[in-house]
Amino acid sequence: MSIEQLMEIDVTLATREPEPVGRTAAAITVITNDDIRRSGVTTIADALALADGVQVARFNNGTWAVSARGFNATSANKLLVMIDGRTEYSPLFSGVFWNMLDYALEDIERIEIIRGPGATLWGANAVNGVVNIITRHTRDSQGTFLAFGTGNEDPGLADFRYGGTAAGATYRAYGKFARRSAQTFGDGVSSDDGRRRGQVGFRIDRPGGGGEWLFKGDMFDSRDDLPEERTGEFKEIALQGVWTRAFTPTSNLSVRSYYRHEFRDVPLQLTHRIDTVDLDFQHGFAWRDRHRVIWGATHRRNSDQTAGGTVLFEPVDRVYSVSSVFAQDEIVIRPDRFDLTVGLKAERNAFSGVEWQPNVRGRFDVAPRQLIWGAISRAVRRPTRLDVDVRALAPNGTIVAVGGGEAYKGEDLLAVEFGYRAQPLAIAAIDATLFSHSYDDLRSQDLPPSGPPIVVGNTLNGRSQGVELAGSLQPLPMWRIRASYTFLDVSITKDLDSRDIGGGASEANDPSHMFGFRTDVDLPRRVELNLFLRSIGALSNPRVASYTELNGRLGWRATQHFEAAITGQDLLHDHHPEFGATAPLRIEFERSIRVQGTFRY
Amino acid sequence: MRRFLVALVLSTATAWTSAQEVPLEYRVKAAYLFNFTKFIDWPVMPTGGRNSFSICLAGRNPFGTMLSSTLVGETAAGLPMAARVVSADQASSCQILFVPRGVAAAPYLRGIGAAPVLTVGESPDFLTQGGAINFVLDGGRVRFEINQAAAARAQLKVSSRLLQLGRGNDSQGD
Repeated sequence: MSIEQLMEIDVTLATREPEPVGRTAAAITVITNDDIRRSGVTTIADALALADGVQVARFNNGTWAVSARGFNATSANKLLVMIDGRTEYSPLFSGVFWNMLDYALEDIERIEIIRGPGATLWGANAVNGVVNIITRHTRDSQGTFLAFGTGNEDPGLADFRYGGTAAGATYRAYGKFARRSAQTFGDGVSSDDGRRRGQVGFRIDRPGGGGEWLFKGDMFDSRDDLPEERTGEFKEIALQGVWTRAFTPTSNLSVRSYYRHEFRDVPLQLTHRIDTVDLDFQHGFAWRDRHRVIWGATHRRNSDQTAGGTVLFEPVDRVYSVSSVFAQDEIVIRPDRFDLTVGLKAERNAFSGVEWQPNVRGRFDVAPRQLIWGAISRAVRRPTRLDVDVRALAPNGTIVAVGGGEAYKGEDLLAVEFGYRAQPLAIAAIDATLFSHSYDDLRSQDLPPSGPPIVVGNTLNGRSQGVELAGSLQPLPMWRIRASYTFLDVSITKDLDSRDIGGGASEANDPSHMFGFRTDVDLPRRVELNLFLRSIGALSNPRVASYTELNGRLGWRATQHFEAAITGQDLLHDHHPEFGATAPLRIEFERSIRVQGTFRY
Repeated sequence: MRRFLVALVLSTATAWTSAQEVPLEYRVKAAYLFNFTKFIDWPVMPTGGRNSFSICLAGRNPFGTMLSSTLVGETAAGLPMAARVVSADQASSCQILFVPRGVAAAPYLRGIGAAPVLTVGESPDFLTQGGAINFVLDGGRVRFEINQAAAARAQLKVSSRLLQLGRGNDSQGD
């Protein structure tokens, strides 16, 4: 490009070309800041529904079931979720308390979702997928941002942020507050699950030590109502520091540490406090032209205290650590033709000792703008306190289930994946993935010969196979379309000597078919329209009928500083269920309409 | 360079930046840095033992892999071009030094002295501190202003074409 041409590019507009063919040898989808803004979603969990092949089902206002490649449950436990490298799944059960995962959505740069195991680089729990939430650098979130919204299901939404510079650093401070109205049971009775949540935080980026420092702090508080029970209370405080240094364009070092305190009080069930300290470093460098090496190590210490309810733990308090080292080499076998990546992670945890997680990936450029990739990986879901230490009580006080103790092992996955990606035209891209996952030692509920209580064991095995298809098209510069389809077949079998009586019903409840269609149109007069149609197949146990729902947003960027929007969610039905028990005990989600005004200075 | 993109995207959140995540503003600035070499003559200079024409980044790299990929296979003054991050005491071995926002320019400018290095910045006071070219945002577009005196001190010959395109700033830095 000539200098004259460069001088005419408006760099404040988001790029609207379809993304170039991703070069990643994995099934990856990226949700951008612009995707989130145009969709009008208000939570991170709901934003994940925009990704190809991710099942996001709501259970009540504060509980989601989220998984990729099956094994979905409200306690789904096979995803690794991180925000700026800070793990967000709970070591209590290796699932995510989605009601506590919040951020100022305006300042999320993007969310990368990788389906399939990523354990070698990321570590345990990256079994069925990795969700990597990346917040904006503070130099990209300067100035004042104010947003207010109200609607029938969200009576009050307020977001603010101020970003500035001081003493060679850039910073921002933000806050958000949201109220959510109760939904309904199938018979029209209110489900009394309204919630109020707030979060404040800051981020500072500043050069130093030959590299760059990042400091972040976030504080979250929410009150979640429950039918005929007192209100649940959830709090979190997290502090994080990261130092990164690029020695050369091909050599980097990052050192990262965080501290987090969480408190949750779920009436009847559990009161839980946990402190987590994590230290992690990673170094990447090029070696002998053809190698790109990344290696690193992590140590994390969890210290938790429990008090119950119907979910007790023995011991009540526990301190447990996990440490790991990993190395990965990306080797250019034939330049611009064939790359191979081999990696290995060794991880020691307090429950099952050392777990090895190797991974081999290959990428082959079959033609310009076309590549195929394949991967074979082993990943482990390490045991958690919910598997090992739990004592589950019936309402009358009898113990119905006990944890597996020292006999409990990690769950093992061996995954084989193949993908094809092509961008036949500048305006069109397609992405296809085939996968087969074999699980060994899945969590089971074994009834001993001597009778109750049930003991948590590893006597189930599983298999999931599927196809994930996605395509994007941009027929006109102002019109973008994305469609995806996922076929999934999950089966769970018992070991020959298994005494399991649960049949895996609490481990997986997945639709065989998922279809998504999104379109963004920039209309004249700075009006923008977004439609998101999703069609989710039936769930079998507990049964939930298939459903099709539509979200839409009409926005008007009146001036550079002011934007108004009307957002509708779940427009096709008065209310519909997505997950959980059978009617009438199941909560259904109501049609939601809201208006929002946004100021940016 | 393409081969690095996989590791870049696959690695954890903050360790690396991939080309995709580099804001358009910096992709444009990377293209500018490369283009400037066509409009400026460097005197025959010591390359600090390097057999390359170095575009250096002061302290940090806001371009991700973007700048390096732009430079692959390109030459300037007969040398292959390369990008690297430098500290202030290494800056005099560069041909172009870009000082990103938030990095203090003074130590770098002192480190360069009168060496033939084209200094490029993006902070409001960069030219008054003695820098040669400064990027400014003008109605969402990246434009640049030139301090001819600073360029002359570094023994750089700036073509009249570039001077026309940039906003003159002769009064400063004298």
